[in-house]
Amino acid sequence: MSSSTTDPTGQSYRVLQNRINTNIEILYKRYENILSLAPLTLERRDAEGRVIAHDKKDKTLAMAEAFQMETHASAMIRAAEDLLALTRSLKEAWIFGQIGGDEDVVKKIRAETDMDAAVVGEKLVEKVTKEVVGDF
Amino acid sequence: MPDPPPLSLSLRPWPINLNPDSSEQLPSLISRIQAQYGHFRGVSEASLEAEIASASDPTATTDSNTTPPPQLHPEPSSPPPSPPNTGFQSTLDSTSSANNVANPNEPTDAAKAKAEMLETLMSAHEDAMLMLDYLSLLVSQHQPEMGTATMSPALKQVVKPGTLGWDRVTRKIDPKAYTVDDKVTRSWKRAGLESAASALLDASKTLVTRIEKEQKYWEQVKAIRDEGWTVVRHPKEKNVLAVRYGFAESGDMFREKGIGALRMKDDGSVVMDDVGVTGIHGNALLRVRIMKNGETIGISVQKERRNGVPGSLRDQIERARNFIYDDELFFELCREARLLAHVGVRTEEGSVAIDLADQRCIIIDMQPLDTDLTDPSDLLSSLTPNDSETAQAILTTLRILLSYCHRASYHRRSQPPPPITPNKPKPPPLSLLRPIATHLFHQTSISNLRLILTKLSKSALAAGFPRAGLGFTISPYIHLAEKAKSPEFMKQENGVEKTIKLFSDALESVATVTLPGKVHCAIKIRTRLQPAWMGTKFSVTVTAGNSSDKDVVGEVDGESIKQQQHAEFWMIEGVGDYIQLCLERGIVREILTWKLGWRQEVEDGEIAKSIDGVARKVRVAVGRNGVSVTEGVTGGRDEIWVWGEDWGGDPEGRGLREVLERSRKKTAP
Repeated sequence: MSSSTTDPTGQSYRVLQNRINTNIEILYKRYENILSLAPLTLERRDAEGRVIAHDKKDKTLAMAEAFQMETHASAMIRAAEDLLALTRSLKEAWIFGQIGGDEDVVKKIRAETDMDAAVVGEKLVEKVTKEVVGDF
Repeated sequence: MPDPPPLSLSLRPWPINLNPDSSEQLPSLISRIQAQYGHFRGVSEASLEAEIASASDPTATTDSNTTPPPQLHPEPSSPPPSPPNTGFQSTLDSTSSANNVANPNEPTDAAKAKAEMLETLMSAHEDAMLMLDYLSLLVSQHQPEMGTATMSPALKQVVKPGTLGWDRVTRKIDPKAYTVDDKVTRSWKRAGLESAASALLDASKTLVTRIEKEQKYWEQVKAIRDEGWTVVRHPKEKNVLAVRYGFAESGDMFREKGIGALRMKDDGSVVMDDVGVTGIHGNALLRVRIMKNGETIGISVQKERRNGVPGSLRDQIERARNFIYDDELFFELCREARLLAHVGVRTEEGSVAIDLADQRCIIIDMQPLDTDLTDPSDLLSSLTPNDSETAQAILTTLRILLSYCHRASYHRRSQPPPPITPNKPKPPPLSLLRPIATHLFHQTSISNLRLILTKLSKSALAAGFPRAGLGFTISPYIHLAEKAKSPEFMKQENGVEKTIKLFSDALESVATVTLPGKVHCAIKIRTRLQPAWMGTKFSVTVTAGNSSDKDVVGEVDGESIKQQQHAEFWMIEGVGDYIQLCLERGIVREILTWKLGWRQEVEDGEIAKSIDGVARKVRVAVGRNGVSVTEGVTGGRDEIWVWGEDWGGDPEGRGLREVLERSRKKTAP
């Protein structure tokens, strides 16, 4: 499985798609495996492949199969977590794709400030240049 | 209880204990003991008894089967770490509690645990290798290449590959064992299935919660980003987002500090963490105080503009931004204040102070946000709303100016860079204090001048001169009109920058004074705190109107006052004196026009007349008290009249003209 800490925008779309498909496949396959290991009996086939008898499985075999089932289960969990990590890296890529936030918001604020500043400036100039007549 | 033996650190490696009985170990052992306990010569009865006492003290001793209590006769002490196969569990229990005061050579719990882990791992490894050998031997019978590849060389030497065979054996199945086996099989299977199922279910639950958390987190992060904040990757930690609230145009010091990490709390909501301390002042904002005679008469209010709910993420970010802004502002202020030390700006630790006239000074410092006004009791009484407003205005202006400086540096950065030189030029200090100080000094000059002129005018009025011929007008900031029309100024499109540019640089005002005798003074006040000359300059131009060139009004320092005289002063007192002088001259001129027979001889302020052969002199002087006229005969008694601003010098309330006419009448035959 590819590492999820690097920026996935470096990888192509195809790689991401492959990753998703792989993970989904893992989920299916492993589940199948668990189910296939579940029965207590083993089928005995004859030369043509037809089922002739069911033999009980040995306890050691059962233990081994139990271990295998656990392994498959954890593989499924890992695949699901990888999908989650994939979504997270996609979100990160999206958020970094546009740097600096929306330009429109900033522009609007700037225009308003400019107008306010012009008005304030005029008023200030008026007030300040008011003549002081000698009053005595 | 005696002190535990001090920890001695030796840089020599531990001796390899290949031959425990070897006598080579002895010298190194002796040197170690000497380093730890002191030389043999230092052994005394008291020290030995102390050793014994500490040895028998249960809290200081370790267990008997580990290191023996420290003894001074040479005995091979077991080198640490003790070999892992000797009674591990017991040593762990007994020495864990005594480890603090035990012999520091004793291996710690961590070392013991590590050794134990290594041991079990080694045995597991050996088991696995043995199994591998066995299986490969089996396999090698049927598939020699595969089998022999995995067989270990030792096995290949002992047993030839392919020598182990196998076959299935049918044996009688014990029914009881059969059922037991069956049960065991079932239970194993079931346990396996259950564990797999529960693992999957648990994982799904945690995944669901994680997904919800992530969703919430990302919603909030998106909301922040939509407001315009920049979200970046955290520079130091991986997989952590951060929001940049610092300013891109800050100096080098502050640029790295403007990042806050966005961390996820338990329920997924975002909390902003402060990455890098925001300046030395922490959570502090700028504060401006106006002090008079040591008392605070005006103080600015730390009102933060909160747009969001307090405690929300947006609020946190804005707060952090405010703090870092004020931090940078204060830093730049301190840097600039060093330049202006000769104009009356003082820097003390943690504050910048501007000295104004009239015992007032403005103090700028940082106030921590969490503490309220430090001394509420004595502050409230002396505060005046006017001065508090001034303080608030100064604070706001400082912030606006910093923003303006940021823009200016942005413009500068957008220009093509200058050619590269070996030494990198340091950025000049931003002009934050200078516009404010310029304005304040200018205002002070104007008001002082106004006082002086008012006083003089009142005195002249009291002396009876007509109001029409007196007066003054002060036009402050006349440079604005001119500057606003300059072409470079009209190029600026930005309203904010336009406004600020108007008020930076030099400030100029003009006062026109009309004095009796048709004397006009034009005083140009220019305040400027730029490197060319720093301070306030007064340029006075005096015109004696309605005079032909032959009319010489008088003399100043040996020079006749011609039609237009020009003088420059740096202090307001000089201007005051000069205007007083002009008033004297003006009054004398006026008196001369009354044609009372007085004649001016070429001396300052004095006119003379000769009546009946007696030379009477009248001296006009303008001083602090007002207009004073001294009349007298040489050798006789002088009569003095003084007209001040609020009172007339003559008990009968007569003006100067009446006084002079009366004196003329008096002496007329």
